[in-house]
Amino acid sequence: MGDKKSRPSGDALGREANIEMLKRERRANNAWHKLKRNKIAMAGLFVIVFMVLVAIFAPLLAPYPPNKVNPGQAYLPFGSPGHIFGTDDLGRDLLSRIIYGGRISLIVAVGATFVGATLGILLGLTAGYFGGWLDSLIMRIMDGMFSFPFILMAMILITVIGNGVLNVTFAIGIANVPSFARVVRGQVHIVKREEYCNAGKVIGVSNTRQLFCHILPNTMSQIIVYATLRVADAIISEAFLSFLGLGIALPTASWGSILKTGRECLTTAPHVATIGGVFILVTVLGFNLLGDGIRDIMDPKMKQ
Amino acid sequence: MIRRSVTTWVLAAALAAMTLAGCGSSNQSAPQQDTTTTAAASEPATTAALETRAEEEPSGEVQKGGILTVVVPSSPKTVDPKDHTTDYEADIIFQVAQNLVTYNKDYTDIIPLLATEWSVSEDGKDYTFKLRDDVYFQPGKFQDGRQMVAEDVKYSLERIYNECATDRICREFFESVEVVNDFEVIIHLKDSCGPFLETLCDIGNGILPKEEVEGWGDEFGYHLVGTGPFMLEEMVADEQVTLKKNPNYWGDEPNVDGVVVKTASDNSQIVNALVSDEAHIGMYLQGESIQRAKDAGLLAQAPATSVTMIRFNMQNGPTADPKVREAIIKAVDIDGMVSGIYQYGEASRIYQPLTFLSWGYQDKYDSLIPEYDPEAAKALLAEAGYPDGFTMTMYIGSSTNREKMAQLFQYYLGEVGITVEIKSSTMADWMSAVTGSYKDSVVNSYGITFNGTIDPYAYEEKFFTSNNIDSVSNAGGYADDQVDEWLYAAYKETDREKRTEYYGQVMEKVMNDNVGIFYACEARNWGIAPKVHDSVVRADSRLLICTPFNNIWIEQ
Repeated sequence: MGDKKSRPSGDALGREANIEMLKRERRANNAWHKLKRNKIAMAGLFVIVFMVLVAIFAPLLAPYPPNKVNPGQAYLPFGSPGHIFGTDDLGRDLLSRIIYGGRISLIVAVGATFVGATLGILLGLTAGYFGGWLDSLIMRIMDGMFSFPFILMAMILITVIGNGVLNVTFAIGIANVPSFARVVRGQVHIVKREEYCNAGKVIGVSNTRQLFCHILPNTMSQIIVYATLRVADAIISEAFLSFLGLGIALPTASWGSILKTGRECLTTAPHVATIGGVFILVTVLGFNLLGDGIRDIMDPKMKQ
Repeated sequence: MIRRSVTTWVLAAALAAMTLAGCGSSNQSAPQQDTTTTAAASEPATTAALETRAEEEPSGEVQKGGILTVVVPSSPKTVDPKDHTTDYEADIIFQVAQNLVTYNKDYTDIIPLLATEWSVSEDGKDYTFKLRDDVYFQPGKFQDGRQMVAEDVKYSLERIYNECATDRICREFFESVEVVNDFEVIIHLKDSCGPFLETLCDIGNGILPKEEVEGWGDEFGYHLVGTGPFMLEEMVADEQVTLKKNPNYWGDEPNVDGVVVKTASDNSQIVNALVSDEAHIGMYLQGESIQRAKDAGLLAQAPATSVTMIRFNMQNGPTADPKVREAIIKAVDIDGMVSGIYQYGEASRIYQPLTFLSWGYQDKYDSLIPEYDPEAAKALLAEAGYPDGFTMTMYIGSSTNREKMAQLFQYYLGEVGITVEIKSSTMADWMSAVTGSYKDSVVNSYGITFNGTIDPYAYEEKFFTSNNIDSVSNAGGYADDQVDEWLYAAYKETDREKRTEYYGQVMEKVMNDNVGIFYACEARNWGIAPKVHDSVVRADSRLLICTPFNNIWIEQ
């Protein structure tokens, strides 16, 4: 017995090697390991994680309350003592407003994408799976919504329901619904023709189970990639709405509202708009890089 | 504390590293401006601080010719004196149509224009005007430049009385116009009316030829004809208005051949046009553009006949309590607020609901405004039954200055425990929310700028008479029988001294009632190119090109 343990047979050796090889292959095919190999995507992920951590720990990190005004210290430049990012038109500390503004921008962006994705997925699944008049009805409504430019759609909704964090999130989310629905419907059309779906139908799997246990999980990879990219768009949409004065209510800081403040003093205090703009740029870039990275690892054509 | 500070620096260093070189430029340019803006912010703006453009010494004699290019932020929609609503429209009308009387250069007195002289009957009910006999209308489609006569005065004033949506002629007191002969009219009033003569200076009361008004009908607003120094040549909506010199003008011949009024909605475009020599005058500058115009040596400012204020709901909600209103005023550092809002010195601090340019202004009432004292404010709130503060709303029309005001107001009140919810909306939505808002406690306070003249009537009557509580000027619902009595007496009185006395009594009462925070007189800010000579920036911001007291010329 002892010999057997200490001196494995040739078959056993081959089996272990096979298992080890399989493990290595699985590891290599594991999404996270693939992502780790994509340095650009990892840079995007780092930016996102960094921004999320800053947003979560904003009360601990911000040196001043974000809305504390000091008219006597308006437009202090970048690098001023006590205000390393300077101050804005009302003498509020820009670093603190950037930190708290990140919180709002990220909450709105993620929240809006979640709202858009949830409703879009439900509509896309229903339209794609059942087809027929239901498909036509849902997709024509989506086409109707598509006929409004995305930002105009969000502006109309804001005008109707008013501004504020929740309303802006909802408005951007609703404006996101048609694009999610279209992407999901397209995927459902492909997935529902797969053998396993046909097999499920044959053995009498219910529509709900078929939709949520078989089709949805197999469209998730596309949805995740798309959602990552939509978060970036939602950040820009929030900034745009706040820039137009339709977004977050005063005096709550968001990157868009900082940008709006900066527009009033582009030549006399350019640091205000620059700082707000750079944070939007970097975060949007982070989400885009991560989205591209995920798409690459999910795309079989991109396998090397 | 130390740990937090270290964390902050580490975080800031990381964030700064991420901002890459983009911030480098801001780092270099901001400190240069910082001295100016900070200095401006640390002391309240005063009239003395307003910029008076140093006009370049002309190299020779007055030069005739050239087209004066003026840029304004918004396009005129109609230039019918009856229908106009904005300053941009009034500026065009002022070049084409003329009144019987007008204001002088300093906006302190009334001088003759189409009238040569006037007299008022002893009971103050009849105004007799003798008219110039050398005035001819500009030729138009329905008349060929005929002489202006008394019938035209009667027609024009009665048209405004009967058809104008806005009261531009003391409608309550106006009765009729009697034509004595071709060059003399008597305006009959139902009762004596103190502000009547000033009302006649309103550009809505310009004298027009009946044939053109009726011939063009609804289109007269695009084909205005009058007696002024310039004729309306073309009006392209949202683009430009072209005026050309009136060859038959009765007064001094205009030095410029014509005027082009262009529209540029972005203030920086206006300054760019001035700097690049594409425009001669840029009107209604705001914010940073004022600084840019100042840096380029183009800025010309004048204090405006306006009052910018916060008004309280006098009848409902917490602000109906006089102690709460006093506490709110005591909680706000008004000097700090004014310097925070107007960082480019574009306004003067005021204390009363009346422009200091008015003949009725008496500085003895300045001291009636409660002094900044947050501790006393807290004590007053506790006395009023709000030891832990309360929540109130502030309604503003969306504009940079108003948003800054609301945020500063919110901050100062937050320091004494009052939470202010800012409701910012478009002007139209703001107007509809605020008008009549005294009836409930939804609108507890609101911000407004009100443009008037130099007559206290234009302010005190509008702000405080109970007749006006359903209009936006007294939307807070201030109503006091005694004040109404004084205001009516002042309205009927024609003697300026007596009127000053009445308005003083009103002022004392409303200041003691703490009806609002009257904090700024926003200046008129223009950019004027150095080669433009004999320009005048007046408190009413009227575009004065060729008047009895100035005649702009361009150095070629």
